[in-house]
Amino acid sequence: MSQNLVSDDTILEEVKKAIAHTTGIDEETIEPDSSLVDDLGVLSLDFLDVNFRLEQVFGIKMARNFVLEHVEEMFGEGVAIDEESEVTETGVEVLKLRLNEAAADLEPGIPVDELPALVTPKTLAGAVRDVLDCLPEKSPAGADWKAEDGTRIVCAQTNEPAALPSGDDVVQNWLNRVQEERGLFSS
Amino acid sequence: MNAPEPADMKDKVVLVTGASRGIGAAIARRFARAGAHLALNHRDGKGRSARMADELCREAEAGGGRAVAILADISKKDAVKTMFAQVEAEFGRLDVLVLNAARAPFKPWEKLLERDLRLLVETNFLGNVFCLQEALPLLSRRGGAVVFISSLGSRFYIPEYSLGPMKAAMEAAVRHWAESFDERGVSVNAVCAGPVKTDSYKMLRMIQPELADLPERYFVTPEEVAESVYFLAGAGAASIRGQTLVVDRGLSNQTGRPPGK
Repeated sequence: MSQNLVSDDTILEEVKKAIAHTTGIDEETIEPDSSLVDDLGVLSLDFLDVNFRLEQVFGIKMARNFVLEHVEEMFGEGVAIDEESEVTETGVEVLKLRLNEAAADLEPGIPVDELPALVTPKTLAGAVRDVLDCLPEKSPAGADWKAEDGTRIVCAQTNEPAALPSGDDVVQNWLNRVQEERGLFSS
Repeated sequence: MNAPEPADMKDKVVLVTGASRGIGAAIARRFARAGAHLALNHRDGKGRSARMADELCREAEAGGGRAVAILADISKKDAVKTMFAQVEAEFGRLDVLVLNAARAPFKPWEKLLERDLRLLVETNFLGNVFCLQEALPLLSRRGGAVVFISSLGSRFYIPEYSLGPMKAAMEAAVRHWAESFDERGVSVNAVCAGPVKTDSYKMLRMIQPELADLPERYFVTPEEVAESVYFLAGAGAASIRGQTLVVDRGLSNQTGRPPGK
């Protein structure tokens, strides 16, 4: 667990800063549930900038592939996205489990190209949180952790940065758990 | 350097694919400055991309030429046909085709899905062929130029850069096309750009953090790439056929020894 060294508020603030920095949008106008694409006019390519900045700030690796791409890679092409590039029933189920309320209204058949609109500051903050939550209890030196500058987790003794799994690893581990618990992809 | 602007691009019609940002936008600006008319192709009809294409049109028109933004996904043959019909309806001619649009999944080869591979080939190879096929009747009327934008991935290994082999295929196609269409007065060449700080770079720096250590002097600007494209499309390059001009500030000359600081 991240031991709450970095607070949820700090993460959300940094996400807003990253979006503001990338797009020039006034940080004050960015709401936690704003759709980056629909409400803030962010291009999907700008996501790379936002993620890069978050990687720098938190010393982590954000996921480069979207959750449904991982589903397809792990459980077979066509499981989450059909030949028309639309999200399947299983794909929608995965998104609802992963994004909670941000995906509540999703129906099967939504074009994959429309999925970036689901990304909000809150979902991005959740992705950062998920990586930070993988922090082991103690550092390799057996010491506690501390948050340098409030965002980068390092060993309190050696100042070595914490080796955290990448965002892609986190998503794949999560999908393996979903599969174990629900057998969603066993058909 | 303020060399007098040659008049050979004034009132010429130039189509740039993938023109809404990055290298494509810089190329559009370069031709606009010379008084050319522009057809600016872009793929994303929503949000900021469409707005950027429209803004670029207005900016380009300040150079004295006309400019239109044309929405089309070049991987779709029908969309390409419609795009060129629009160019003919709007301008009645085409003099220069700049094949700049590219789209790629950045993943290790073993993880590319069939969908990813189709996107890779359909946009970066077939899409360019579709554009060439549709442009040829227009370009052949008065003679013209085709310039393809390649990258160092065509000849060097860049991790997770599946676009590289597509660029290599296109550099080969450029040689074929140059010979095939020479008699019609259509020249075909390419510019192979070194690292440019555009959207691809945003992804590459996440895959290759060591890119951050590359001395700034090795980064090429979109404007520098545009200048070479402009040269290859113009009268000054009249005797150049099927070549790929490497514009990389000498980075590829450094192979075999670590880049100096």
